[in-house]
Amino acid sequence: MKFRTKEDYIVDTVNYILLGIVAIVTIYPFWYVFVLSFNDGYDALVKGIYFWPRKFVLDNYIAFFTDGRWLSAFGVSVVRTVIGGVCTTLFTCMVAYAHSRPNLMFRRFYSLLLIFCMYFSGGLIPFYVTLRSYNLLNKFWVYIIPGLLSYFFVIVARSFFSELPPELMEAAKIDGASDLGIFFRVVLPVSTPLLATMLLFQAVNHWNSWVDSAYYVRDESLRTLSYRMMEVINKSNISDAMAQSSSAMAQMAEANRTTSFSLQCASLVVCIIPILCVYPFLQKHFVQGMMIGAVKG
Amino acid sequence: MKTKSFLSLFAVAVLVLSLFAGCSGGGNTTSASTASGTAATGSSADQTKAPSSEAASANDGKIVDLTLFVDETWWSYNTWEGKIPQMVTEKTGVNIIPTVAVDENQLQLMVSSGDLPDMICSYRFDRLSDSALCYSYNELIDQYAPDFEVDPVTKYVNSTLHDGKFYVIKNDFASPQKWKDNPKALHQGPGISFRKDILEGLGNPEINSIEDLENVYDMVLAQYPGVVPIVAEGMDNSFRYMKVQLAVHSDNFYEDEAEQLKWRGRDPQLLEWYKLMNKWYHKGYWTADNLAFKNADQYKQVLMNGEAFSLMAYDNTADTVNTEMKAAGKDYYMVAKPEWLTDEATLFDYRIGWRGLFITRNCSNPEAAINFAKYAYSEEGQQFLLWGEEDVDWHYGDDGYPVFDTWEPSDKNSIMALGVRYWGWLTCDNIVNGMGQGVGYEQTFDVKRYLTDRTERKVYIGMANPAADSDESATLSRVNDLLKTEGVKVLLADNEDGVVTAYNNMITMAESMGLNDLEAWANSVYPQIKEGYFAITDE
Amino acid sequence: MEMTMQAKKQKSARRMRLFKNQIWLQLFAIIGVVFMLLFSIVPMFGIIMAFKNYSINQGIAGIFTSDWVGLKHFKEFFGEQRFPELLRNTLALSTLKLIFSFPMPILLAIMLHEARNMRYKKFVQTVSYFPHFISWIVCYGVVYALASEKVGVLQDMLMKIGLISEPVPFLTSPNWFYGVSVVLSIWKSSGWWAIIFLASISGIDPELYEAAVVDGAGRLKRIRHITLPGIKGSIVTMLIISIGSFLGGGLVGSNFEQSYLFGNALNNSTAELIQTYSFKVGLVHGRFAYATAISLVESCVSLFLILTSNFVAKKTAGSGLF
Repeated sequence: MKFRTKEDYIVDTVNYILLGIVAIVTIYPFWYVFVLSFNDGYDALVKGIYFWPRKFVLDNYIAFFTDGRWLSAFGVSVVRTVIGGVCTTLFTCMVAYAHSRPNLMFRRFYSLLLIFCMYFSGGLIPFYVTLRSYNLLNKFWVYIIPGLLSYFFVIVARSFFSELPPELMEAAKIDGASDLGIFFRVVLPVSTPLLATMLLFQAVNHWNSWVDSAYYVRDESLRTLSYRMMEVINKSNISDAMAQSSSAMAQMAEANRTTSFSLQCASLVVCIIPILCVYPFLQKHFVQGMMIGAVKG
Repeated sequence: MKTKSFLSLFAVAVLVLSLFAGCSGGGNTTSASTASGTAATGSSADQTKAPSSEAASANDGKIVDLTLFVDETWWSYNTWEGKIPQMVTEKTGVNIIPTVAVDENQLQLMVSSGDLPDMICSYRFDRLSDSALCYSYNELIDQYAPDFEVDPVTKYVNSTLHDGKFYVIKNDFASPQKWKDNPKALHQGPGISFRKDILEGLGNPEINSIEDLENVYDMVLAQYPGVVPIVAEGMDNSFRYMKVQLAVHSDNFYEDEAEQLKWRGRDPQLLEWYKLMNKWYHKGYWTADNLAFKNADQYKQVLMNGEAFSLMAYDNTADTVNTEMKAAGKDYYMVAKPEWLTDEATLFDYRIGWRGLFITRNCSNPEAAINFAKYAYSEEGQQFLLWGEEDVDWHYGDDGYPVFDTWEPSDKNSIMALGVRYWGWLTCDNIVNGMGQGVGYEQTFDVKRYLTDRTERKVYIGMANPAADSDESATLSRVNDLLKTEGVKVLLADNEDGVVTAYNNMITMAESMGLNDLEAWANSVYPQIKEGYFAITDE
Repeated sequence: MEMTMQAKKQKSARRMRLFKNQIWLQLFAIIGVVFMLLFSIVPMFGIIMAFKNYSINQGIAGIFTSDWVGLKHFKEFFGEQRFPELLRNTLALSTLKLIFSFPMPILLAIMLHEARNMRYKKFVQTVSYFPHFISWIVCYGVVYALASEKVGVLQDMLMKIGLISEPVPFLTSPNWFYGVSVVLSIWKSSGWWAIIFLASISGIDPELYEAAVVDGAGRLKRIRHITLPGIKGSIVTMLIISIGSFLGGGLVGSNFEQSYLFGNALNNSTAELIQTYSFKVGLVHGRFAYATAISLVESCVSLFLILTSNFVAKKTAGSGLF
């Protein structure tokens, strides 16, 4: 039996208003970027554009789609995101599941090793050299393999797995299943909110990561979309060392006269749209958990 | 559940991909130029130093691929394409595969890991001038290109202090003798421009001195509320125009009366500049947020919204901004002012260039690389890369300056269609580039003319550069950073006394960072630098 | 306790059996160890750079052959003229983010959970993570366009409403830097991190809510007594991790990017952090040894923080990270 109290009304109203503000505040800047990307670069410098492009042009986008490099970058990013997202999620869950079992021998050791690795690192150069010695540089797999284990998500997934009712696993054990079987046939299927979350985070991570594309890859055909985006965005970024030289600044000012900001916005939009297309599919899965409650009522 | 997500992901990917495939008909693709190695002899200029046909035949007519890393993130060209690059490939037998830096760490990673490309174009002179990393030009010239003539002064200033060899020829430099021999070449520096409509509204007042300028600014403040009198470039180069008027040194060191090197922060004229700018700040001529501008767009925005009267930036900014304002539909017009405001106005140029072509030890074909460098640094090569093919893309006008026919400096599309100009910036020297810099613009020429007449050069000062990773180098970067951060406090002090106090405070802080040791080091190398310099010139 | 040979043999035999019993679990854990070995432990050889006079011109071999200089880099770091200021700035920004930015994703997740209209909830939730995808550089451009003193849209709007009489120096005054950074970090990351908490909330048994309703508990009471305790594990986990990355800005992170992009000559006194200063005088000039020393200090601090907070969590909340 459900009825709404006065408190319900108040809470609901306040909640809806606050959520509305959240929505506006988060959507408007993105809308602004979107609008600017369709606006002429020079005109964008003049005040007054709020909700709609003033001088609508497609030039900023034509720049991308006529450049073959963007197409290959898009392909690389898609493949990387799918493969990387799935592999990392699976690998990380396997490790986290093991860590979550209280009867695991050497559990303390595994935990401490994880924390240690999370916080200490040798830095960029040793990592590069290590990858080089494993022969991973300039190959597609350099995007996937070094990212297989997400330390952060081991911790998150471990908490999640440790809160699963132990009866589930015990019932399966009684039926004669091995730990391997339990993991794949019992644990994973009930962990959809976790898997959906991890898949989303890892996929987005892979989609957005450009640093590995910049440092570990030389082949132009292996570059990712986000790298191409950073190329465009960094065109108007000048380092401090360069800023000291006024000739350099003068040259840069002259060379960049097709203004950067609209172009940057366009490259950003190109990078975001695919994610926005995919997200609704994944959202279904953790909303599902919430829906169970509503249906049962 | 999971399979469904995968299928949907794939479906979306396929959909979007097919959309893109439809749109990208006939686009550029990166393609290595496959022109066969027949030496195409372009028209040769009078004083050519690069026998281009020899270079191509040296490679037996084969095209050599050389990777080039451009260490500047803002570089406009990502590929070596276009008519001009292809013709250069035919002339030199070298096809360039460029990579543009996405951030500053890429080069350091390459250096430390040893995975260097064939050539690097960078401003990190002190780091890359290392025999472990790069070939010195001395050895390459001796071995492969003995006819590569380098002006002795150029060779001298590019030589390192530690081994006397030169690993690069930095661009944007020419010896004082060359400047004397080429009086038409134009220098580059700061400039000021004013909004024409406001000037006319004020009755076109005379501006012949700093007092005149202040009067005009007062008038603007009174009659045009909402318009700030001065807007300027941000970061390090703010108000550099006024520094030139007050003869302030802007390079790392300068020579005082006792012929000792001092750090630029100690320049007494700098204090005068602080006092003047501080006075102007309190009068309302400029606002504090100007100091925070990070790129050109930000001052252009203020201009385009009609909220600024005068712009202090570079000699060509007036013209470039006018083009852009027209494109944005605004009819503001900036009038440049070439004449100086004071008698002592000087542009101090102690730099010895700032970016150049390094040939690394990893180079797969050093012979091809040095020959390419020989061409790129030759007068003919520079003209070709900067301006295009003679008598096709440009020709000499009656006044001795080039006239551009197939492209315009203010039209970036025409430049990029040819592949011209920006590649030339990598290796051009001041003389060749100086001839072409003022061309194609309306007002820039006059501004540059005045600038050049008042430029003082002491190139040997620029040679006092600490080695990479040395303590002096760390101190220099710290005190320069201090100048930026504390300098703001000096500029914005409450009154003139406050300026002096803050300034003295800044100097004390610099000294506690090791400034005195830095200057002692500089003065220890300075005498021998000067000696070596005067030995090869007759100044 | 003395063990006879027999007892020892039996113990080790038992342990072997136990091990074999959980062989799959051990394998899962071992592949994790192998990964950590290959990609984290091996590169750690670079840490010795921090104690050496290493120049990148010496190449990789130089890491091993250059001279030991002991704590020279550390002394240089702690002896920097600006060190107290940098420390203060970093601590201030991180603390503010911990206090104000950390609770936001939790709050947002609860608010979303409480919304009844499915469509509205999905819409707001989808939209709330948009800012996560806007890279900080573009974000700077957007914020500049909105809030710059001369041409900012926001300034115009606020002046029109009459809230302010002249432009507010959001981006140039040292006093505003922390406020702007915290607000922006909330804006950029809350929607994204809320996803984790939402997933957690969705794991709470709905019957608990039913029972509470029957008992007459109102909405706020249900949130306080069911939702919050139900995700306590997640909150504690995220809090500990947040404290571990305290110096980098915690969970919502981005101390470096914000300081680098939004810092300028005017707000430098509050905006310059340890990481950005080390970048400017260290990495930019290729002084990797110095930069490694600084990051080693940061790592040690982070480790200390995470171990401490884990300990405290165990004592107070009953469960920690490990």
